[in-house]
Amino acid sequence: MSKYYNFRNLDIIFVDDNKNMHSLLKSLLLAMNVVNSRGCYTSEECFKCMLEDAPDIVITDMSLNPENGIDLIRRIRQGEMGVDRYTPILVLSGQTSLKHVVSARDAGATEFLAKPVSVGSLHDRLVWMIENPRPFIKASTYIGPDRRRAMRGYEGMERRQ
Amino acid sequence: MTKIVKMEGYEIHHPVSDLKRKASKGDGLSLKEIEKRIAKKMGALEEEFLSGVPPVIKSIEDALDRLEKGQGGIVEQKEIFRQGHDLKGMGGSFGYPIMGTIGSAICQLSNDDIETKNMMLPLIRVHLDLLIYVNAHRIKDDTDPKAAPILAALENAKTR
Repeated sequence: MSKYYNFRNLDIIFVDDNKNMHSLLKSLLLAMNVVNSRGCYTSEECFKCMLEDAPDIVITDMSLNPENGIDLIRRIRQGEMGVDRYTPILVLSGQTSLKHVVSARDAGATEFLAKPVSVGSLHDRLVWMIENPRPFIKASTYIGPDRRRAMRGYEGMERRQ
Repeated sequence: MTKIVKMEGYEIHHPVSDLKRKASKGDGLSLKEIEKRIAKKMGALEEEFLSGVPPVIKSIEDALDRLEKGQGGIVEQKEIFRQGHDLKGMGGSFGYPIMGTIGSAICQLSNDDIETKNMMLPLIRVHLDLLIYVNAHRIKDDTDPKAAPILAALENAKTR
C-alpha cells in the first residue's frame, strides 16, 4: 500500500478573482488527483457552490475585488445560508504581513498559505489540514478553529501561555 | 454529529472531520510524481499568464497617466495597487519571480497607508518600465543575464 494520500475523493472549492489563478489552481489540484474542484470568482458564487454540494475544503484569496475574503470566511463561520460552518478554510494570499495573517486567523481561517504558490507548498498544507483537524471555539465574538493551536507556518505566533 | 463541550463563557466544538477518511492513504501519488505531472502543464500555464500581462501593464499605465496629469485619485491608486498585488502573487506562482518582485514594489508604493497626493509617481513609473522590459524579454528571475540591468535599476530606484 502506498504511504501517500489519495486526494481523488476530495471536493475543493477555490475562490479567487483572477482568471490565471483559476487555471493554475485547477491544474495544481488536478496534478494532485483532486478531480472535483470548483472555481469561484466571488463570495456569492462560493456560497452557491457550497449549497449545491458541500465541499471538503474551501481555498480563498483575501482580496476578492471588490469584496473581501475575510468577510467570506466570517460568513462561512456564521453558517450563513445554511453552509457548513466547520468547513476547513485555507487562505491563499499575497498579503502576508502579520496584520493580514492575524486578521485571517481571527476571522476563522483554518490555515494560511502565502502566494506565490507551488505544488509542494499547497500539497504540504493540504496534508497538514488532513492530519491535524482542529476543534472549534464558539465564543461571543469568535467562531472558528481553536486559535491556541497556531496555523501551519505560524507556529508560535501569539500563542497563549 | 458535532460534540459540543460547554465551558465558562465559550464552547468547544468537535466537528467530525471527514478529510482523513476521504483522503485515505492508499494509491496516492508522491510529491515527486505530482511535480512531474504539473511540470508538463506549466509551459501552457506560463503562456496563459504572459498573455495576461499586457492588459495589466495597460491598466497600471492608464491609472498612472491620470495621476501624473493630476486627474486621478483614490480610484487610480487602488487600481495600481490591485494590479501590483495580483502580479506579486502570480509572478512567482507562474515561474516569473522577478515580476512578483516588481509587483510587490508597486504594492508598497501604492498601498492605502500612503495618501494619493504623497505617492511617488516617478518611482512607480520606473517599476512599470521595468515590468514592460521584463515582459518583453521574458525574464524569469535574476539568473537570466538580461536581468542584470533590471536588478541594478531596481536597487537604484529603492535607494533614490
